[in-house]
Amino acid sequence: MARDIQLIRILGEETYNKITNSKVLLVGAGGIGCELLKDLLLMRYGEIHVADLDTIDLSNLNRQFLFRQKDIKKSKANTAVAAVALFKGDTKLEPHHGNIMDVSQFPLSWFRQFDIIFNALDNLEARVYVNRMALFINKPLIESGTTGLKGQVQPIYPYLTECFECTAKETPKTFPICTIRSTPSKPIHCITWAKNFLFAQLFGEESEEELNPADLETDDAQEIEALLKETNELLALKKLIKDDSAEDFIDSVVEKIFVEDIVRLSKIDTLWKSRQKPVPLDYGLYSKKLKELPPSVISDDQKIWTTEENLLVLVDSLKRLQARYKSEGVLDFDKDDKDTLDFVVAAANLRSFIFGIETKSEFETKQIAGNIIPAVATTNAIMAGFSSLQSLNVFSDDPVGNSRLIYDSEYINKFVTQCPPLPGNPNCKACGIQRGIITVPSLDIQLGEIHKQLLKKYGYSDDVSIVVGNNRLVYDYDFEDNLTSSLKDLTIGDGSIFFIGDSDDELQDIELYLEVAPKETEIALTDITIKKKPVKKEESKAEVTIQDGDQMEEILDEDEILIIDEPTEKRPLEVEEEIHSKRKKSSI
Amino acid sequence: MWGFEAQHRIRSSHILVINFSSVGAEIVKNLVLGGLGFLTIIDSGKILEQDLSGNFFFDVSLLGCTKLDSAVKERIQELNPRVDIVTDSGAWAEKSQAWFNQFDIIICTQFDASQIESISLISRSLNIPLYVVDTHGLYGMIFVDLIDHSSHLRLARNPIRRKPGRSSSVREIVRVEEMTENDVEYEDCLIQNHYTPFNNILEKPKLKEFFRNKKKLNKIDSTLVVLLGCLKIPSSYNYPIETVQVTRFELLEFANDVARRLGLTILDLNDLILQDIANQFCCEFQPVAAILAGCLSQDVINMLSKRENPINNLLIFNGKKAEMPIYTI
Repeated sequence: MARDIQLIRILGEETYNKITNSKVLLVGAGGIGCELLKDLLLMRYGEIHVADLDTIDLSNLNRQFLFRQKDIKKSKANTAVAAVALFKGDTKLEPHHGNIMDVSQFPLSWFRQFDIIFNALDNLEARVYVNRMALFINKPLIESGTTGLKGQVQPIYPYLTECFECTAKETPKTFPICTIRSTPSKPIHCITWAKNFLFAQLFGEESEEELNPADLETDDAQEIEALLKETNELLALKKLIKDDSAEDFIDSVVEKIFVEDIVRLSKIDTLWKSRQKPVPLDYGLYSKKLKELPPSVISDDQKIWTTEENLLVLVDSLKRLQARYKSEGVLDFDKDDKDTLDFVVAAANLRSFIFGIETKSEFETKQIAGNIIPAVATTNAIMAGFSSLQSLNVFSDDPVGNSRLIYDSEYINKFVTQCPPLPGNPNCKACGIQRGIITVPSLDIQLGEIHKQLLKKYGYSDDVSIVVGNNRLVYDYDFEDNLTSSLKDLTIGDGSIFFIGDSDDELQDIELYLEVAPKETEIALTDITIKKKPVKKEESKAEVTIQDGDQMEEILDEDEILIIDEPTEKRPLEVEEEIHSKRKKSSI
Repeated sequence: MWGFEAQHRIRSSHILVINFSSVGAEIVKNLVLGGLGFLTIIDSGKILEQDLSGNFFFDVSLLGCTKLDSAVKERIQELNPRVDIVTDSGAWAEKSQAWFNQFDIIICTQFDASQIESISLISRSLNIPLYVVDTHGLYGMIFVDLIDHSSHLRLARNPIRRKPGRSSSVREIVRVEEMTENDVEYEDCLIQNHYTPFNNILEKPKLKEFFRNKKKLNKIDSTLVVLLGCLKIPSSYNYPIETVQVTRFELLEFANDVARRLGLTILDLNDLILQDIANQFCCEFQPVAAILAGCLSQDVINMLSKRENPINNLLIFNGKKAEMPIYTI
């Protein structure tokens, strides 16, 4: 075809035809996802399904190039697919607005239709889930992620290469709740407090959760009592937002948050043995000075505000937020929403002042509050480009051998660091055991029937154990009661996961995903070659060796600037929003 | 991300992009999203059917229109209404020195050697930083000439303190300051990068300075010499690809001329990279365009923010092996 003549020259007719006949799944239509969708389309993949549960946010627009102002609050998957209609050519596109982990919307049978899965996700939980799905159906998965200027692409061929879970992932940094609530010592503690606690408590959704003393990570009974009291009072304050006049509401907030709570905390001597005691805000003194200040200070985001300027901004933003809360209801913090940002900056700075911590300008706070490391459009474009390039290997004669793991490089003599994919970690809890699918015609089938088929198909001795879900034992050698029960009676259903363990320790354990297929007449089991159990060895840690190492060393010796630390083993990084959502979830 | 001052510099910069190719379109997208102040794009070509698989700003309805048709400009502008965009369907070669003088950075895509020579005469005489990016299917290169450039590098403190001084003929540490921020100790190094004009890269090659060991010099992938050899073949940009036929024989001759000048291993006709690149000469491929444009745009932002160490001066891309070495030649 004249349109794709360049593609045919580059890829060859055979590969080009394979691509145009392939059906792929793209999970995530955010920063990397938008880029990847464009790349996959112009590579002329035959059919692309895009799944994302998110809606578009103002802060997405500066890098997620398929979205416009008018699309805010709309589904990312639907909008992305509509936006590329212009250049989609003959590719069939299907958007799915939903959570990829929702079994009713996306059962395993749905995943099976795809030849390749592309992950462009920003949260660990969903990435782990899709990784497991890829293992069950044994289809290639191309993983990608970015944080700021860092990023990586990992092609995963189930059981042949490392999977997503073979290496431990760094969890985002969180702070002990008591540091945030009672003993802050850094600006970030006060910003976290203002954003995730104070703002969320005042203007966010009513939280059903009660403060659990065990979560506070402190044993100090006095401190726990003070914090519980604080929370209850805050809930009372929340009720005032709607009823009170602006003046009364603001007075109550400032009095409680920056005076009464601090007085109460400062009385707990055990906290201040080795720390500087906080000094309650002299509200009377500062509020008198407010009238003399020019209101223009609010728009100066570069200046480090004085205490009275911070108070002025706090009072002003509270007025604006109260008015909005009355008309709009619940508010979310958004670093690009000036009203919410003003409040967080001023409240964080006043708290810093009280605790003798350095204060920050609005500009700086925005960087910190807006997820620490902002996503960078160019990194997303680069990693999406590599992800789509790596998918070409699926069609080659040696997919694993041709594949490369790709990381950003901090060295001056190369832009990326790459290495061949590593073999799976034998102790990996995801791909260390074989996975497959068990298909049944209905849930009326008896467990005994499944037991019989398992032994027949995989060659286990009678001495196996069958566990459903996380830890419900339904069968072992001494526990045969359930064999005559139907799956339905055992509350086993579509999507249940069976773990088959060999009690004789001879054959490897396997995990099977249960699928109900009314069209079938018999129980069907995936073909898996079950290997002998390996003799247990000590845990060995896989290490990424960097190629071209010798050449690099030589340059390193000669050029001092080149001495930039790069870890020999890099762990895939999580994206900014991940940290964001984790923080959101951890109600402090 | 880049700090206020850097963002200000980005907002007040005027960048010229020559040729709205696949990689050109990606660069435009990145810069417009990045909040650039002023952008001029120039391309005199028309949209051919083959361009539909390499440029996401085009669609079937625009076949035969100029590449920078008003509809295309509108689509670019939609990405960020705040960027001041000028599109020009004229020929860059006919523009005056005064016209070029309005730009802070010049970015050329799909250029051959004689075109780079003419543009670098202009950019050098006007003291304007220059970027050139060429792609050939799964392969590509970025050539950078920032003339002289200084930047601050914030490096983790080393057991051995960094000292001011020349580390190579193109790079020196001017000043080192020890600093502490948020309890982390680091060194703030003021780095000066000197660039070689395009005309001199093969005349006075610097490669040996960085590869003193002959064995390691010989191990350099042939992508470098083949891509530099490609520059000698007139650019086929804006021509129908079916009229473009580059033989291995002619490319081999140019590549080996480069190899001899750089003191690298001479190739033979069976070299796989030579075969690949001859076959894919001047072909545009979306993922490769995205990677090289991302890399170039990032370097432009780094350069404007004066925070990182910019590319000095040749990045080579091999998409098959996923390699992106940076050489100083």
